[in-house]
Amino acid sequence: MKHYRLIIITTVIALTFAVPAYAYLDPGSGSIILQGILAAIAGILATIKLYWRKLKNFCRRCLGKPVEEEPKKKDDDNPKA
Amino acid sequence: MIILKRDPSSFHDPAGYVFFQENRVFRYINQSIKDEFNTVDQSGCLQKFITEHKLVDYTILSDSQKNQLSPEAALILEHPKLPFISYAYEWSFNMLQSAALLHLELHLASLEQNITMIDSTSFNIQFLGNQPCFIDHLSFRPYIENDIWWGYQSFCQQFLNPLLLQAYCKVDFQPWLKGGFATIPLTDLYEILPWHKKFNWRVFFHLGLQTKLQHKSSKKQSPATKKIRLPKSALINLLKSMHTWVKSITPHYQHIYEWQDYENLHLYSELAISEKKAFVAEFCQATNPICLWDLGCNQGEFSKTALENTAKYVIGFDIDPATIDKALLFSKKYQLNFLPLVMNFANPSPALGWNNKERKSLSERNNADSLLALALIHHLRIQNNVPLSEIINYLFSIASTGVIEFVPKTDPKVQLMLKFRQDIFMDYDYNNFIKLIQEKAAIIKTTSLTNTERKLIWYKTYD
Repeated sequence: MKHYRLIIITTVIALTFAVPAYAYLDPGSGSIILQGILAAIAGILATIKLYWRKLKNFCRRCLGKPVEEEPKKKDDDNPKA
Repeated sequence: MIILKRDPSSFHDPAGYVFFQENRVFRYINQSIKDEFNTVDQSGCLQKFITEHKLVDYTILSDSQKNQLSPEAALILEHPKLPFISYAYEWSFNMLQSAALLHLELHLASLEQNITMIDSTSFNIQFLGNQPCFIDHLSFRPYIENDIWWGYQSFCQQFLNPLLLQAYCKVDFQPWLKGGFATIPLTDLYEILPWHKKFNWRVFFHLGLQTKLQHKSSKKQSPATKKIRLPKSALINLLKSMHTWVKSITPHYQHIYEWQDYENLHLYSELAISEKKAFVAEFCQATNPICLWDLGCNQGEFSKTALENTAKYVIGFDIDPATIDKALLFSKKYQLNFLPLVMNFANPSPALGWNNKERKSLSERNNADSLLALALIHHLRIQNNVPLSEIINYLFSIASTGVIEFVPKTDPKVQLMLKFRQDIFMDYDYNNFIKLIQEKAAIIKTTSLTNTERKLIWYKTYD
């Protein structure tokens, strides 16, 4: 849930607080929207990457295969003295 | 106060403009963009590109030098003067392709230094000999986080579409670029592409989707489009994907001009070719051309002879784009100071753009001090009906000295041209040709080529 919120907030910020550009030429609305689609695809891919292991484990569970363990965090490897 | 002579084409970007002063080239930079230019300058990417011969050199004038020219300017740069300005509608396929690749490579390399490029126009690239070189230093600006590729549509229209027109439709792009001011609109190209090419995912994405979105959004303009941002990684991927595609496109030609392979047709004997080369060599040794125009250069064999015999720079012109592609390879193979361009002398490049001053006509860009017009004038006279006196006057207007080849009506090539038409060319005869030349020029030397009735004439105008 936290991640969804983060993605939505980031997208809203990216769209709302657009910084001024130097470009003097009209980029064409088609070109801008297409790049917006690319940005969305990039966002989706980043999200998939974020949830990839969970998705993989979900599929494995459905197929009755053993799930992969979450990699241990470095902090866990090096417990505080 | 000095009045700066702004280049008529340098008005698009309000950040600055190019002006000329006493045959020197300067770039005026506005106060509004000073900090941004300094950031770009200090990033070191411009210097890197200059070292790699990908960008024209520049020097920032000292404050006192700048104030002498214009105290209002934030900065003034000085650039070396280029030998010749050519336009995309005069380039061959490989030239436009290498210019497109250079543009993308510069953009990708500058992004590594957190610098971006704000436009994509073929007018920002010039050829120095056979190599493309970027000329607009104000195209580089500091990268703003998540900024889009502003020149995306422009790149498609000025670089990608002409290449696809040649590759997928077998149509020469040069006349289209000339008529459309170096641009082929997305909708125009997408309409005429063969149907099966529209299934190519790259065509679908870059052309089809962009065209459809353009149509839809033009009906209902949303202010949200102005706020769309693109992550840097996605921008880099877009540029890389475009680079891969552009690099993979290969030209296809519908027709082969009759004289495209004339060197292979054995119209000349080995002896005649060596006589021709010897004549050109003697002419160049005597005249030391700084810039020689080779009209109807074919692959550039005689341009090479000229360069080997004191000529400093040769610009070759040929009507056939495929031949100019060969000439470019020839120029690269022998590392010649030779710029080949596509040109139909029956319809040379006109002045184009705003007020017909933005892009200069071929005549306005004439920098030749000598010329070669080998196996050219019979095409102009017999195929294009241009009177012989007009042809001679035109050649004299290009250069005060040169070598012209006269191909008589008895020549097999001219016989072929006359095969299906009436001979209405009463003025086209060697004696009349000589008489017309002598009205305005001295004939320095003539020679007859062995085993042909072709003749070479070395002229020098009286004035």
